[in-house]
Amino acid sequence: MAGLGKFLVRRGLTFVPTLIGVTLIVFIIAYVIPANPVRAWAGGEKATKAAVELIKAEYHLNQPWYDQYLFLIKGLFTNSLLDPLNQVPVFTNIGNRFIVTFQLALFAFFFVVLMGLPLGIISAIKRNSITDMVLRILALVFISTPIYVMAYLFIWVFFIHWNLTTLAGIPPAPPHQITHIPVIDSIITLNWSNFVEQVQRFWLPGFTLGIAAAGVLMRFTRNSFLEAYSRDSTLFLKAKGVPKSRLYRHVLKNALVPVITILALQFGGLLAGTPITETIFNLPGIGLYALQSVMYLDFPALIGVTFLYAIVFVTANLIADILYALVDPRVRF
Amino acid sequence: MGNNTKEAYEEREEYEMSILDKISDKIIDGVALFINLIKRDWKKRNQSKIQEWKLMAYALNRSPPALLGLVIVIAYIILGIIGPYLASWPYDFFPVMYNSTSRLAAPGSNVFLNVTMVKNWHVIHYTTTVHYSIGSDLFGRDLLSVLLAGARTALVLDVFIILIGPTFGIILGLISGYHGGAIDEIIMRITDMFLAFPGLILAIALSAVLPGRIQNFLNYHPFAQTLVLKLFALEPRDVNNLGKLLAVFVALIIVWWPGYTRIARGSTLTERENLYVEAARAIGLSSRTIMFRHILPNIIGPILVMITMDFGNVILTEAGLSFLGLGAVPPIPDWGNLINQGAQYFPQAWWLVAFPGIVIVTVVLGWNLLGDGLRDILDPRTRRSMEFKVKKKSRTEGGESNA
Amino acid sequence: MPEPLIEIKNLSVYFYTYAGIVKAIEDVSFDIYRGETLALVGETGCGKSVTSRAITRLIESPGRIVNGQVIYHKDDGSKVDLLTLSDEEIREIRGNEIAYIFQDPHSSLDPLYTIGYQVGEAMEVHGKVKNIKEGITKAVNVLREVMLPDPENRVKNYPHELSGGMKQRVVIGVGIANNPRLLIADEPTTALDVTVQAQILDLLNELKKKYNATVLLITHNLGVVAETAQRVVVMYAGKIVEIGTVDQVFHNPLHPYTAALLKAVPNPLGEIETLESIPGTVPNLITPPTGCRFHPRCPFATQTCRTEVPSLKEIEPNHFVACHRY
Ligand SMILES: Nc1ncnc2c1ncn2[C@@H]1O[C@H](COP(=O)(O)OP(=O)(O)O)[C@@H](O)[C@H]1O
Ligand code: SF4
Ligand SMILES: [Mg+2]
Repeated sequence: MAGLGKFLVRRGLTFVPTLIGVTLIVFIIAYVIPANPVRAWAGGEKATKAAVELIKAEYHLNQPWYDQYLFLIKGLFTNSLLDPLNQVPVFTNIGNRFIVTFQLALFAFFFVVLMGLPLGIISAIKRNSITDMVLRILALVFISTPIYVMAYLFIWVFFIHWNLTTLAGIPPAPPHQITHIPVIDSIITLNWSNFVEQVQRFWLPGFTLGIAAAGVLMRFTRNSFLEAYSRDSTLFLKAKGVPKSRLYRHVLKNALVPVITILALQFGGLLAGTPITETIFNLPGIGLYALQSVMYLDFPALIGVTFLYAIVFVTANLIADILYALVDPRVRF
Repeated sequence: MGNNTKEAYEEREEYEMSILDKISDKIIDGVALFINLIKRDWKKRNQSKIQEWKLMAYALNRSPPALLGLVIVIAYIILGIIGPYLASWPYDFFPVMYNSTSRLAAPGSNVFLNVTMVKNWHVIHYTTTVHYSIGSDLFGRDLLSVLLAGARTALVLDVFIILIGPTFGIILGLISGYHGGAIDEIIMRITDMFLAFPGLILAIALSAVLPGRIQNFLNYHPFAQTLVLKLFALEPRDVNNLGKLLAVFVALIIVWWPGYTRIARGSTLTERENLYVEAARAIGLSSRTIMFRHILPNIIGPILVMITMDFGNVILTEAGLSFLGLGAVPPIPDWGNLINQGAQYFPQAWWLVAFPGIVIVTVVLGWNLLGDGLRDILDPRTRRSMEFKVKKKSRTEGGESNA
Repeated sequence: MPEPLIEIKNLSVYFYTYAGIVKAIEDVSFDIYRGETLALVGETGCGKSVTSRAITRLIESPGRIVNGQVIYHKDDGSKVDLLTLSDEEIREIRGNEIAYIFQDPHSSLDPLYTIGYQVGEAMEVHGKVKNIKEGITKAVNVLREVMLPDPENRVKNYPHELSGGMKQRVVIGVGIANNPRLLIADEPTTALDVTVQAQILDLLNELKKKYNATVLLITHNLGVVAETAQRVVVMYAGKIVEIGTVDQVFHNPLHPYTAALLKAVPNPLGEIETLESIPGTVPNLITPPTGCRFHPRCPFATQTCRTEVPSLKEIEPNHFVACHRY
């Protein structure tokens, strides 16, 4: 593991251009294309000329584009860039909301793993049977259903009919905070009642968000398992007289190598895939913030959010690489 | 030892040719004949390729999910073409203007209308009854008619986005992988940047900022205007709604190329190492010929699968954007927008979520089933490992001679 | 009279692929005698691997053993047809009484387990050791047996940390771990460097002598056959064309295919002859040629050859050929 530090530095450096590029793209989308965002920030058509000029000066909008860009990036890093809508630093806004999104993604991830892995494995073991066909179609149905259709279906079943969830407000974090992720803290501090509150509020949005990813994972696991099963080493195990259960243990271990790295990427995808879920389930997370910032042309916020998404993407990739090296003895940093 | 083997060939197992096999054979022969019209002697030179296609079709014919997918996809394409003409009511006829009870009318209800409208500078009066078989939307439009008209919107966006985005991505990937070096570095860094964006957020941002510029462009280019209206089967007076619709179109193209660049580059890199590329270069073929004539056909299998499934994903994303109120806005008929309308009145107006939802799921599932089946058939490894069932035993005398 | 260990009778294996039914082997019959090294030779794709795997039913979908018997003579004198055993019964024979060595050591071993584990596992699954820990301890001895240097430390290595030759030694170790009656070596040296090939063959010969095991050696290297085997089975396009002792086959090849094969390689037993490749190509096995499958390439083909399948005939003691010329 000695190479880990060097590896991280090397990978970190290749990501710098990506991060710069991402913010530049957002900058272009936000500042170059639209006609006049400032008017919207100042309060729409009825904004006074003075107010508009004030905002222009504050956000360096009357400066050349590179100055505007540097101003935004500097503001992001020092957290002095204010969200024009509520005058709170962008990253302070994001920080508060990120906890909600992270917890949502965590619930989704739980369901993804819970459904995707076992069903994918069953599908592979029973390949070409009726069970396999049904599971494969099920996975495709998961992938093919728009998340909002799924959401309304679930709301109808689990909220309106059976009332198995709460859909309003956000339960308070447990009093004793360690990780700042409420549901994890409530488990660590054995705060049972708070845990139940968190689960009641988050399980359905998490389930909804996770369905499509579970379908993807099912398919990936099945294919990975079958790929591992078709290797010569599997035939050699059979020739050795290894019983079926043990044979599957070998195959599973081999199949999980790529699956584990995909899981890291999927968690990143879940974090970034929340806008619609948060809108429907009324959760004040990053996705909702991103949507609002687009709707109100609130571009300092949009730049902040996309910067965060890019970091999530980069981190997920990095974790995937590290996991790969950890589970596969052939790979070293 | 030395058993008598004279009888060995007398009873021979055979696969049964189903009616589907015969149909697919006919179709492939037809396609071959057609290509032969364009390229002389193509059929003669590609006998083995044609045979391989037929065999692949047999594999497809034995996969019920893939066949189901194919049927759905064909139905979707046909509806996308003729859907607007099948609709009983035009998409821009708003019954709610004449009778407010037509707003969110429940499935099965009938609403009487007393219509007064201006047509060709004449005021017309007439009465009519609208039958809402599966309910109506906020404007009292017959949901079934809007769904049918919406098939065109979905299909046109779908086809053109897939035609442009992935093609661009594949070309970049081929160039990047084939040339390597600085070109590769630059292309891949840019691709990485776009991949680091969550696609939905990028699409949302672009759909939000682009409409103004696009509307502007259309207002100055009447030919483009007419073309777009014709493609989407829209009335001329909807021209001012095109900006938002096309913004989604441009946004999705921008979102849809990077994945293909990465895949195409990866397979080009491995393919480049093959001897035939070396040979092609040695006899002085141009880079372009080598890339498109020789490398592309060899890497296209997995890409075709991805394209098939992305036909579904484009529908899904486009509908997601209109669900958020971006892209197509009424009166432009759009499946996602119907759900957007229904969401505010859920669960009272459940049909506005349920029926467009079912339509979207079905179509997307169709593409995915087809893509999944194609994956098994186009990948030589899984194709070879498929087991065919023997249906009947026929008695033949000896094998066919191939001496 | 030599005593048979395995009698293969009328074995046929078909692959039910999308492109048609591949008749990989058809009506294959031969015996393997106790204590001998029997070589199975033929061009690539003629069905050597399929034949050897079918002995313990190691045929995967879309393949199926459609016909035949594999009679196994146990040490206690009883006989069983391996093709009729239950899955559990055949599993107990695989790797224990009949063991395999495959062609490519790079892909035979599981990359995620240490080599000690993989050798120990072979003993554990047949109840030769109590648990995997004891198996790994015993694996040291096995690896010493196959002359892997420094076996005490090597057991902890993963396959990727070993060279190709060393990996093949490990694979052989897995094969001999349970002291099998029959060792089937499917082209054990093809995937290795030329310099290593000889070492691996020497090792196999030594082990065979030491344990007096029976070996079915699959190869397309006729030099290897001459050095190590007592008898030869020659296959062509899924059928057996000639069986005999090494002496008989090399000095008096009866089948035109065998003769051509011997001409195609420098014959280590006779004078060095010019390399003369066999004209024509191996037929596809979906629609194999009628009659004698070699007839499209045979210089002596007649009308009978095109329509009638020749059966194996004993021309001299223990020398069989399937050809209408005899
Ligand atoms: N999994 C399979 N699917 C289809 N055909 C196969 C498969 N495995 C083997 N075959 C066919 O069986 C024939 C014999 O193969 P094999 O026994 O591997 O030849 P070799 O003599 O080189 O060992 C080949 O012609 C091949 O086409
Ligand atoms: S049977 Fe006829 S074709 Fe076959 S090897 Fe003998 S002579 Fe040649
Ligand atoms: Mg072989």
